[in-house]
Amino acid sequence: MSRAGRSAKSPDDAGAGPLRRLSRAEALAATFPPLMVEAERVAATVSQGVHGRRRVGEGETFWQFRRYQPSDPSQRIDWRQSAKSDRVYVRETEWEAAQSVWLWRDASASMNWRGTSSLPSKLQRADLLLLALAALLVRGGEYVALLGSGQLPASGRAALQRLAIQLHRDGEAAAGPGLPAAQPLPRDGRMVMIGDFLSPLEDIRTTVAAFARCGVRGHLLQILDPAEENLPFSGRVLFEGAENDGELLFGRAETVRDAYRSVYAEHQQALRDLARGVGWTMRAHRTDHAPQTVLLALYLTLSRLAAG
Amino acid sequence: MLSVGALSFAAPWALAALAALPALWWLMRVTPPSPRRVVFPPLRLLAMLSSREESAVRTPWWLLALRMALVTAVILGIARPLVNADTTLAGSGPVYILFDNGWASGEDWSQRMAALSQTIDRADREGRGIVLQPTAPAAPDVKAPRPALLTAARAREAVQTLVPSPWPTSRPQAVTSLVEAANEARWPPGAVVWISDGLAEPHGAEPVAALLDRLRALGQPTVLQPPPQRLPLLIAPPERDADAPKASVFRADGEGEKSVVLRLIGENGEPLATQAGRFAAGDRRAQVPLDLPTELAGRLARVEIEGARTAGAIWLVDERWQRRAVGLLDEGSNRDQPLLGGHFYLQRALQPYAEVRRGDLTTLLARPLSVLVLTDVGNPDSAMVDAIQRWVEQGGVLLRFAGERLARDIRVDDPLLPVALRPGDRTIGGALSWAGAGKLAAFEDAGPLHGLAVPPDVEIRRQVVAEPSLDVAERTWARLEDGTPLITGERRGEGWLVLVHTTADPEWSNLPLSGLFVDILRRIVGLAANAEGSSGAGSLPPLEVLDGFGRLGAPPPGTRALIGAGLLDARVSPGSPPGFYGRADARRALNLAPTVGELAALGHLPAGVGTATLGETAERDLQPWLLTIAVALGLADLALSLAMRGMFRLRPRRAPARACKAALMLALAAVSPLLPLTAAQAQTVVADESAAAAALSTRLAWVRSGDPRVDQISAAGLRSLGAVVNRRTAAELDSPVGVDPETDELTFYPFLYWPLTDRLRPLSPTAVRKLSDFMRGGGTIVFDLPARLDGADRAGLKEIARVLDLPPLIPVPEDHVLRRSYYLLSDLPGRRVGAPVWIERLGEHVNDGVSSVVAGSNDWAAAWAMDEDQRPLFPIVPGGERQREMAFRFGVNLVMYVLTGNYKSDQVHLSTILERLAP
Repeated sequence: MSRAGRSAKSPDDAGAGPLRRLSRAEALAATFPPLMVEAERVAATVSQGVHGRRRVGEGETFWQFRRYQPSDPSQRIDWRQSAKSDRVYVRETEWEAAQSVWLWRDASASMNWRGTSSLPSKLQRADLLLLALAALLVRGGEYVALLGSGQLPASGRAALQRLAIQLHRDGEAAAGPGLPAAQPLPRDGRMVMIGDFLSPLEDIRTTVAAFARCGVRGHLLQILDPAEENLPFSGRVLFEGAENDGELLFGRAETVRDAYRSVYAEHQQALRDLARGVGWTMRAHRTDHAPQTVLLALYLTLSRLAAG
Repeated sequence: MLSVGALSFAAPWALAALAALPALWWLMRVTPPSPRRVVFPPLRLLAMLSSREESAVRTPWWLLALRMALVTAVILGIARPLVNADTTLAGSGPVYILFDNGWASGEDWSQRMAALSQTIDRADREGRGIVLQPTAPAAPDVKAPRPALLTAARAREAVQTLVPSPWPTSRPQAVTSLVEAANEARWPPGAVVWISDGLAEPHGAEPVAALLDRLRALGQPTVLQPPPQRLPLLIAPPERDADAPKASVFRADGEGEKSVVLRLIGENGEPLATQAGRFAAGDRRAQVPLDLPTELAGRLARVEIEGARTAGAIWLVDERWQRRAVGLLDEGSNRDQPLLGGHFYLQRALQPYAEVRRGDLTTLLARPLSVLVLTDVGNPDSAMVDAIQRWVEQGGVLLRFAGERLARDIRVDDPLLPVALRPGDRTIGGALSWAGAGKLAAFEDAGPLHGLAVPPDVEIRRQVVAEPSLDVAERTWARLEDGTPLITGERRGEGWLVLVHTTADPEWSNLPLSGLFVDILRRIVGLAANAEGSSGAGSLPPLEVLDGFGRLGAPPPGTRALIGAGLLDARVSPGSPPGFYGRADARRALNLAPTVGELAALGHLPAGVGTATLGETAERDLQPWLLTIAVALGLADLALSLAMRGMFRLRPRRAPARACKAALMLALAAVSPLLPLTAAQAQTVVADESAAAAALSTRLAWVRSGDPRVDQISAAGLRSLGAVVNRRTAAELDSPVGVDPETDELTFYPFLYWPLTDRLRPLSPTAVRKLSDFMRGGGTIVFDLPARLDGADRAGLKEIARVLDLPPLIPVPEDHVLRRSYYLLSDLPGRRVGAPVWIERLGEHVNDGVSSVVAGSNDWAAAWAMDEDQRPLFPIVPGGERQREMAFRFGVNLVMYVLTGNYKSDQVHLSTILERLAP
């Protein structure tokens, strides 16, 4: 948690190495039989990662019959249906294409912080959740990619490992920006943004709107430390920003506690409204709560996003 | 100086700073403590808070109290509080200091100086002048300064020059000069401080009360005395008792009991003995016996009181108290024939406790002599008689023994005889007598010989007889059983004339053979004191003198010699301090005690005179304590501040590096005196390239013989042997190394090839040791002898064999493993063939069956030697290349044998093994 963005140690991530983290994340994902059952069920409904896109295209599921146009190739005529009436019909299938999930987590310096030494830092929790989610998605047959890595979404164990290595490399590098750079994404993709979203609301709005315009359905997961929410300090305190953004001196920190909490709640509410405004979902997670609940909820949200 | 009861402040102006304390308190209360630094990511949200309360938290009250206490301690420390400070000096004029620096002041000199400095300091504090007057007369070469009014700085300089003097004080003169100087210079009366040594004036001098009266004119007198237990002691001479000299120790006051220990020091300063004595209550004099065995008594140089540092505590011993000197008059005849001469027995008897001197009369009498022994001197000439008479009158003891000549030459009016003698002698118990030889009766009570036990076997056969007269009886000290006097003695002046009526040798009696002789002589010697010889007059220049502390040293310039009449009753004075005078071999000690006499304490002082005890400064300075407390509080404050800022968390979340370093520095500074700083010990690495090279791979070694041709052959031979071994066997040998057993380390090499040339160098012990260690450690030396050995070479070889302690050698047996270790060989050729090869006779389990010596004269290296093109260097004449091949095979066998030990020796026992395996 220095300004250079070195990741702090936490109880559930005592080792280095991306693959180690990956295995831990997989262990986390695999220890919940209910979650795995759910994952299986969801995976089954999603049928091998191929999702119907509700439009005409390549696929296996019947979509519609259409009148024959002179531009259509004659092999496509469905003779059975055409025999039932006196018009000539072409059978069309639903466009089923694999859905990709883009994952992103905030690697800025403000994430690499923890309130007390007994809790993991927000970055560690974000990494854990991201990797566990990716593991579940890959098991369910989805295509995952790390936003900003320049790689196409891929599935399979290799993709997972690549993801883990990329995460690690990002963690080793200097602290990244607080928000992802805008990039064009294919429509109907899904996106999960994990971070603390402490940047100014306008910037978040801009980024989210840019991705929503691409047609991506996203989910915001805000990771917060209980110290950030509660402001448990008292006495004369000099607060310093994590990203070199100034200092504030408070004579009695406990007097501003209530005011701060209300400001924080407003900020969270504004985030929720923002997400709902573009049709995304938003969830908050405190690092002192167990990650399993939020993981399940996230997974189900994603599948719901896919399904509907 | 501000005084509040027992507490007084030396710098009261500092207390004004206490007025600022309330302001400080208010300031500290108002100033908030430094904030805790916390990293907080959602700072932007905090910044959005509309209202921020700025009222800061206050410093906790206990921190405030700590800081107030710190500041108070510092202020009080600067104000220099003193507990029970000394009262000011009376009056307002100059301070007249009378300082006793006589012999008795060496005892507590440092305390006196401290008291003097304190008085000067106090006078300085009050801004008064100082007049310093020491009471002892100055040394003869030092001009006594007139008393002058001095400033404190000059007074301190003058104080530096004061030393205790080893002579007594002369207070009346000092007081007189002080009063006169004050009157002359019209100094106003002020205060008088007399730093005394606690002793009163001796009898006949002006008493102390009168002195104090005179001093009253100059101001209120205050007397500083030492405490009663620190009053000086004086040691007086031992009385000249023959057997047990006793020293007297005097003390000044008679209060209570006191024990005193005397140390008897020998000539070189070595302690001989210690004696303890005791002052009874109320007694001012103690007698301490000086018990020394006779061997040590002669070495006694001084007697000192333990723990005292004055000149009066040392008694210097000169010859008068040492071993009595006994002179045996040498007449030139053969007196000291062993067992026959009289001097022999006398010397034997006198030697343990007296110093025996031999010589003629003038030599003997030139130095102080106790006893002069004349053995059978018949008629001394008149000059001799006069000299002896004078000497006897001054305290010498003349001991004469009878004999032939005395019996023959008896004169009636011999002045050197105690009794008149009848001419002739008397034989007792001869052949024609009924009675036996004369036996001794018990000794007379009156004489000095009483109490001696008479052994029954002493018999006197001949003696000279005293002329009966009225005074013979009272001069007789010993008789025979029939009443005849045997030893007679007469007092003459200070000395004695003693006559033993028989001889000093066993001719006339067996008295000299008995132990009684020794006792008698001892008693007689004890009669004497070391009387001055006639030629002892003149002046005695000073040799070594005591200083005020009782240390012997060179006499200061101005010390006068003791002259003639002053010898006997010399007094210590500034011109003649106590010490040794005279010549180095005839020293005379001048001691202090006769000059001083008995000691008396100052006693009661008249009314109106303040007293104080020396050495007890009731003043106690609190400044160091207060400043220490202030420093401790400061450290505590620092630690607390750091803790409150959160620097001391167990796992600081985001402690800035500076604060961590600060805390660490603090801790380190606190414990740094305890950390031993030792330089890191670098491991000593033997940076030996050759050792590394030798140890990392197997190499063969050859011994440098000093002949470059032979060395070249050895090197080439071993190199090609190594190549052959590498090619044919699993062993991997690196290039061979030439070693010198004198300097190189041999332990790395499995075998050592040693071509013994015609010239054999002798081996140094280092080389021998290295080679022995090499062989004992399992190495093998292969000796390659030249073909023909002449006598010198053979001798040299024998020498090598002896020096290296080579074991007995046997020719290689037919079934030895050396012939079977790789190839099966029937003979072991080199360039020559036919000479036997010798090895050590060994059991299987010693050194794994490998012989530590292989010796032969087949010149193997020349057979193995090849040049770079693999062409052989030397032809092998009878056998040709086939023999060379055999030589190589022998070399391979040898290397395998040395490297593998008895691994192949099972081949020898193969039949046995097969037999055992088959049931």
